[in-house]
Amino acid sequence: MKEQSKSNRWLTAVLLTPTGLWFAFMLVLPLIVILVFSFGERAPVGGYAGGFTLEHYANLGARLKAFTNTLTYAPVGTLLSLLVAYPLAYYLAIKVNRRYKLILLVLVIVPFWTSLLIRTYAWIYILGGKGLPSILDWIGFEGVRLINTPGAVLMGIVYGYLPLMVFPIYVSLEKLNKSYLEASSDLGASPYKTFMQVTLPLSMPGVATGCMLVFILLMGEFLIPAFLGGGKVFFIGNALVDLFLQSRNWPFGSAISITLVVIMLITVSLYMRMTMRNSKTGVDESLM
Amino acid sequence: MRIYAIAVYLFLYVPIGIIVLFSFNAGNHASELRGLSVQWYGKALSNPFVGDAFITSLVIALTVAVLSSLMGTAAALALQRLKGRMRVLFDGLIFVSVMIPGIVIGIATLVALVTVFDFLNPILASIWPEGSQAPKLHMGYASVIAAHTLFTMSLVIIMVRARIAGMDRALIEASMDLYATPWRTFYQVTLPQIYPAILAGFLLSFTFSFDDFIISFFVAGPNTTLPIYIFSSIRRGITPEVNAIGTMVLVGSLILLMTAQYLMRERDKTK
Amino acid sequence: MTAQSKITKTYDIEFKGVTKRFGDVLAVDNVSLSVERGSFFSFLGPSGCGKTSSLRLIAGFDQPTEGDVYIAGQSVVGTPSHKRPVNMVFQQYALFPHMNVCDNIAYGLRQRSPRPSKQEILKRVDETLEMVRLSGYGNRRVWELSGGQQQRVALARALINRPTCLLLDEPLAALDRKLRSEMQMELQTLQRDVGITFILVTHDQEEALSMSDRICIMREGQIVQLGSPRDLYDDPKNRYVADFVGKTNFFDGQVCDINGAGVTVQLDSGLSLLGAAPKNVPQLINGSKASIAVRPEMITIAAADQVNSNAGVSLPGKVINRIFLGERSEYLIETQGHGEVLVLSPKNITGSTQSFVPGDQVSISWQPESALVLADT
Repeated sequence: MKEQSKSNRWLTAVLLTPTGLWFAFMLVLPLIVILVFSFGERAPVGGYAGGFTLEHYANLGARLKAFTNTLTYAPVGTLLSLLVAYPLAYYLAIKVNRRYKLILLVLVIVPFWTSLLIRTYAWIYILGGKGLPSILDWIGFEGVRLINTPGAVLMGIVYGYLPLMVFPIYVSLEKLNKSYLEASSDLGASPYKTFMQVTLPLSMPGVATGCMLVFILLMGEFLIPAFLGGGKVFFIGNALVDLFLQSRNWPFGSAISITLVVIMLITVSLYMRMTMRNSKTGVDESLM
Repeated sequence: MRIYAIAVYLFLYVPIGIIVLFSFNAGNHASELRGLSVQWYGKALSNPFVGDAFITSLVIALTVAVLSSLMGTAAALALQRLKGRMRVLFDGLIFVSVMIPGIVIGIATLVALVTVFDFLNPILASIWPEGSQAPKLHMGYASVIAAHTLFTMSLVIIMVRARIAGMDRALIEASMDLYATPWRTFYQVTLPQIYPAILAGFLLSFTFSFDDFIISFFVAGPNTTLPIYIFSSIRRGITPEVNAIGTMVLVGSLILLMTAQYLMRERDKTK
Repeated sequence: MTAQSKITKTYDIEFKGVTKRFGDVLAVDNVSLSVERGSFFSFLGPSGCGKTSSLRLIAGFDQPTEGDVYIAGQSVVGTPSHKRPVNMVFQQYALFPHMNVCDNIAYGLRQRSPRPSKQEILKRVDETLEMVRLSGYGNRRVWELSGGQQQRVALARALINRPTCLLLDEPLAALDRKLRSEMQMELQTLQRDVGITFILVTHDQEEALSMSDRICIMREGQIVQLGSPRDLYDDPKNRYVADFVGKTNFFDGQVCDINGAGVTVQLDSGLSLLGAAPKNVPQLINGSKASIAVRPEMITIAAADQVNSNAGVSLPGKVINRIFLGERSEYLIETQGHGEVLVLSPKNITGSTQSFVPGDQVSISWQPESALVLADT
């Protein structure tokens, strides 16, 4: 018995070693390095020089706009995606004929499996000068500007992350036992009340998962604001690309990265704790 | 409700349709449709940069997918029997690696590797025998693969673990009860049960890696992946060549997805 | 050969001072028992009483914290389950969903080394399928089968290995009532045919009573009473057993006299009743809490004005409910000061005068010998 558990422990160690090394060298080490860098000086030619200073953190205000943008667009974008996604998920899970269900579901998921880069790029066409604006022009609304506006960025967000939101909500609605709805109706609840008191609460795990996934991805978003926001709407991600690849201010970029990670750790942990408490099932890991 | 659904589907597919439509553009300008032709497909396919970028992306994505499914599955199996402080540590690392934005991973990896390389390269050069060229560590395939795998490996762990958790524990006991050794139980019962999750994890890892722009953008060094190529051509000014590439990628992913779906259904008739 | 080993030879399963702890939870508490070869043995008790834990100790899924488990005279402590000559039928059957019926049944044979030949395996699978009346179902997927069929596949999968002992963990719990009684008969017949020791875990007293040769009643990890169904029914050791096995009316009180005629109990209502002490039970002493237990079929019921002078004990009451059960009727009688009493009355051959309806004033009576005095624990 003892020997067996010993060999078991060996096996566990062997199975975990590659993953452990990966975490150590590709996650922990890089995070420590940028943490150190964030307290260092900027070398004259760019890059990093040793030292200890808090000036980069003190200087975060210089990029305040990136932070405030990210922290408004991420939650607003998440909420918008939810509003667009929920009715569709509901339709797919509950209303639609069984025969078309699978194909319709696949049609939602397919865009998720294709490049976000290319899908976002399509909107440059549509919102660009020769796309929708020219049609609006023709109708009579002259000089409407669509691209490089907050609206364009939000639309890009909803477009890009809709599948990611629909899928978890669909799964939790699909799991929902239809007899609950019948029971509610049988007990005299109107369809609206049934939805508010039965369907919606029971689909919360899916909603929580979807929102978390989209929110996490939005916090580090770079492409959508880069393509559809022009220079006007930029996120932390855009600031970071600028700092590391253009102005080569590594210590300041590191400070921003560390701040972003800390903000995310706090918000996501808080969010998870909140959803765990509210619904017994909490965030459903299997939905990823 | 149905009208709403149709509207959402239009919203999802019109942009994709436009990309496909403009890829058949006969003219040189991306935004004006002047007749139909397949000339841009020819141009894209004969463009050596596109070919190279495609091969680079493919090699990286395949390696990432294989590594992540192997290591992720192994870790998920091991974690299921691990308890105590190590378990908490690993759970924390998995959480952080999934949650941390790709752009931070890209930046941190870039900065860390450059620092490590700057430190190691002179040492390598000094201990290398005279006369021969000392190897120089630099960013490239390996760094992209390593950075992608960090994220996708954690995804596989989460997916496989969920499947293990959903598995009936009595199946394992039944197998043990019927004289199967732990190892035989693993490949006769556990593996067939978790196989769909591993396959899904493999596909997700592949797609993630193949589509990723932001991490590769930082750590690919001199190499160009397909998304990097597309990104820079969009930046340079749009030509229908990008649309042709995009359409091919779309069709490629579709074929891959459908094949996978088909294979899954053939093998996994278990539910 | 020593006398010791001669004795152990006739037992397939033995527990010697077996204790199993899960953290702070004591699942099995110092249990010793032996299961005779070729018998049908049941663990009976409510959930959490330690019956399933005991079964898992035999199967080898868990190892005892203290004590020894023997299979066919051999200590198996430390032996992993895949090296034990016992097989189990799981509660939800645990059929492998990725294999068809045939592969499920052949699974155990295929793990053997040396592995039997393909023909041998096929032959035995066919035989076993026939034994459980599923011939021709070999290529079906397991989820295409009904509950009863899945149950039989699970049985076949275990029995094909000709185990020393077959373990059944609530095997009938998932079946509907009719199928359950069919399977009870079938299991019993099967057990007699194959001659293998069956060990059943169940919370259903009727199931245990109808199938078993011996029953072990458990509570909180300990054996409360072990005996044949008849023993348990006629001579329950305490109130817990009487309550668990069959239906019983209890009248609570205190022991006030013990003599050759029996034990007298002063009820909480003030009435003193005489009853028989159960065999081999020493814990009754003057002043201890005890109950008079009377089985419903031991009670006769008569109209209030026809009190039988022979009756040892009689109580007046009022009929509050009657359930017609065909060959007999079940009456619920509200007595004055002694709560509700259940009476099982056989159909009267001589006429219908003995039939009562709710509201009737009646008198119920029984002989003191048919009442047992039972300690509370």
